[in-house]
Amino acid sequence: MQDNKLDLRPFRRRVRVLRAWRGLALGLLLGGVGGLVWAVLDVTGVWFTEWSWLGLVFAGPAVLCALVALLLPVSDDAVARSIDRRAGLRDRLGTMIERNEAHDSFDEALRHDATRHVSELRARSVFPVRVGRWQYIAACAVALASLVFLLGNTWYVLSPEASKAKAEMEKIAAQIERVAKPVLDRKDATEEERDFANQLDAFAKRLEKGRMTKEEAMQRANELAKQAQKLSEKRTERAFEKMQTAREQLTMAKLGEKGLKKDQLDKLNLDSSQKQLLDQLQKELGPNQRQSDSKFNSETMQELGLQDMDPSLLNLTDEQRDMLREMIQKKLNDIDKKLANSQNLSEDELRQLLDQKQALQEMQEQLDISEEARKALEEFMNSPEYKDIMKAVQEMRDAAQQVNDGKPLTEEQIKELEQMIEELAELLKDSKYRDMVIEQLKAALEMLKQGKALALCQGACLSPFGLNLGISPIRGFGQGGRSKDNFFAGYGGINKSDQEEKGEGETSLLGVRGQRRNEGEEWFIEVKAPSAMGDRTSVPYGKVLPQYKDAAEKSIERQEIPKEHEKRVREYFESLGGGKN
Amino acid sequence: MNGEQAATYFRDTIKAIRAEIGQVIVGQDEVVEGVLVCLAASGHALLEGMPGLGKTLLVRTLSQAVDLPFSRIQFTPDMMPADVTGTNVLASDEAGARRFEFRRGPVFTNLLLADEINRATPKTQSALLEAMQERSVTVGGHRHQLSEPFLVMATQNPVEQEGTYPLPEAQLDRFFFKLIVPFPTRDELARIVTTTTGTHSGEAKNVATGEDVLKIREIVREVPVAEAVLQYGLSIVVGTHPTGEDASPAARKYCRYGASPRGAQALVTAGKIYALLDGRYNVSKEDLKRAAKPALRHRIILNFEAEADGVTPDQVVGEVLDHVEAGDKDPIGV
Repeated sequence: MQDNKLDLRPFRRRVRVLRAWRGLALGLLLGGVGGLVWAVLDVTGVWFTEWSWLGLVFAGPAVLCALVALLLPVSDDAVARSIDRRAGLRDRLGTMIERNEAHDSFDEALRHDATRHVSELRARSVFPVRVGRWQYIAACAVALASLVFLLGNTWYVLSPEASKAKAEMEKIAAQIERVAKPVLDRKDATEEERDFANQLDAFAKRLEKGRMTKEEAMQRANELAKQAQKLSEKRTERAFEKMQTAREQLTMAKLGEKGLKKDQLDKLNLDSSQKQLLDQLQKELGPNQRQSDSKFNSETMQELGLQDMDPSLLNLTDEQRDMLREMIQKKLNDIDKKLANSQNLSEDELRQLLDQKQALQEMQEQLDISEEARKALEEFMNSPEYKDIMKAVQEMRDAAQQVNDGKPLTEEQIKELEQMIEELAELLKDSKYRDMVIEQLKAALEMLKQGKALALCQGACLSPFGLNLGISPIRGFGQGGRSKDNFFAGYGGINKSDQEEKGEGETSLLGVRGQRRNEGEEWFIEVKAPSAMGDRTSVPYGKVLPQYKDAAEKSIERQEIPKEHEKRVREYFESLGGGKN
Repeated sequence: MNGEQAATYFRDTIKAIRAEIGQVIVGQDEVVEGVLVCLAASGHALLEGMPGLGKTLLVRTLSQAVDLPFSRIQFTPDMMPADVTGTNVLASDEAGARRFEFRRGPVFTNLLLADEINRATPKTQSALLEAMQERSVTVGGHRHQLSEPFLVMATQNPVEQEGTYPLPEAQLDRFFFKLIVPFPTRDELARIVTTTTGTHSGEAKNVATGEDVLKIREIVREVPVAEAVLQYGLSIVVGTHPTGEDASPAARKYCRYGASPRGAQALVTAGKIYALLDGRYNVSKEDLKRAAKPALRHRIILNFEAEADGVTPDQVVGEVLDHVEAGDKDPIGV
């Protein structure tokens, strides 16, 4: 007699496979719908994607759902009843499973009957893997999403001009992406810089996708370039601040060594009444004694990092200081005498005398401090450290100025600055304030490097559209520079060739098109950008272009433009693309 | 007797009876099967069909096959309950003493054909229906038990409704099955004519006894029903109730009242018999579906809209079955 034990394991396994198959379809449908939404967002330019990401959106939920379905528990009762339905067993298995423990007259016969029927079945034939409704729907969703994405990204194939433009845009996008990445990757980048880098990245993606007209791209590039410039300026400002801090800290440390503290030095800053008093005292000394030493002017104070300090007292000579002391002492004695007979004084007079006495005493103290400070500062200014740090700071200031002018630092320059800081560190190795100063300088250099990255961003935004800002294609004497009006002026030879030449750093020098003399040198004023690039105007490029085109066409009609240049003028406006009326 | 033996015994007995009936009755397979199901289920059958379709012959042949006494009552409007159940008559014994003696009516038999039951008055009908339900007759304050097995086969003519007393719903409910006796096909008719007008008419042999019938009735009760199958059957029954939560759209539209609990009992019992006839030891949903129309068609009461639309109870039951089937999903669902 056949064993009446029912083995549903092969059927359970098969059910799991089928569930995974259904889960795969449902997941794929989910992914397909998600992919469709993303593809639509991609086509409309809201959120771009790539095939790889789209594939991940399809495959991710599909695999996940399949796994979940595979791991879901399968009950024997459900499997039995499903087999009953699928294999036409007329509820034999369902009844048997339910009456597994029963021992009525028909139960044994039922078990035997059900087991016999199941043994004749194959799990594969009872639960076949079929391509059903869900699989079809999922496939349709994926196909639809792919189609939308494909159509949105391959439209340019239809037109050779569009294809060419797209290729050009892609090239520009790659260039922009390359410069945006370092900004994004920097750990010390500010929120504003990250935001800018993200904008740049998004712009690059839009360009890559070819979802912008040339005018839109130029306008956006213009905006981004301005933003990059502002950020670059902010960076260099911060670099200046760091350098200033370095100098101030060094000076204060040196003064501290001489026993002068910050609060004492603060006393050297004279308020208006103290200045008036000093002026009055000097007047009383006579005209010959008013001639002060001008060793400490505002420039010197700034070099020392003490730009907030009033140099008036520091510039007094020793002789003047002694004479002032004597005079102050004399005045104090007079006041003391008057105070001794205070019974004859009114209350106001008494208060006035006391105020005068206090002011004179303070001045006396200030003279003492200024004497010490002067000596200490003179000693510091004559030290080799001062000279070295001033040299280093000056070079960094020049570099910062260069960055601020839109010219990024070259790798060589950065190396030189780094080397200089190292040398300075070596020089200050015995000083206890070495770390403090070097740290500030290094921070300043980092700021400049970041400024360089931002300047590159600026260049990357503009140069592809022929809107080089601060990257001059002009060589020769009087290189020219960017003014506030965004033009370059100078005198020199002209690169008339159409061949690109390598300039400084990452600059490319391009030939200037147009009618020029073939030989010799000439004065030139080269406007490097449309007026929208300037700081004072902000008329969108696309708005004025049709007017310019109209004007050009009218000029051609009026035969104001030489015949041989008519074609060139037309080509120029057509190349801009948006010059349609 | 173990399960397999019991099932074999059941199947063989029914097959033998059926084979003998087949010797005499030409065609009418469904009606014959229905009558045998009623016999096995201890229920009564209401046969609806035109006169002359072999209803009396069927009962007589069945009585011959199972070797049980058979009675036939032709109901008429003037028939009294006593004509069915019997009555007390004044009789004298050997000593000359007079006393009332119960004279048994035609209901005291094992197989009873109540021909054209709807022609009798409700009073007479109810006398028979009491006997059908209680398996006993009460006359003059005395209860007289009917002998088992007791099977009533009532007939009614669906066409001639003049001067009839349609059976009330409560009485209809007491019939296990309502079987529609169709007109025979051309071939069957030819065989009927040939058989009945020739020299050799078929004769059924005795292949079973009343004991056998009682035994197969016990066997039927042993057949197991799975919970899911039982729920399926109940869904069919409650699906006929127009006001229930699980009512089918057809029931909501066309039914005034749905099937009674007796309907559910009949459905499941018939399902058990069909399972045994099919060689199984369990009831399946298909068995219940098969039993649904004969078990429920007389238990649902249609409304005026159904009559106006010409909808029959069979159509409503069919739609209820479709509705229940649609709700019965594969538990794996892949």
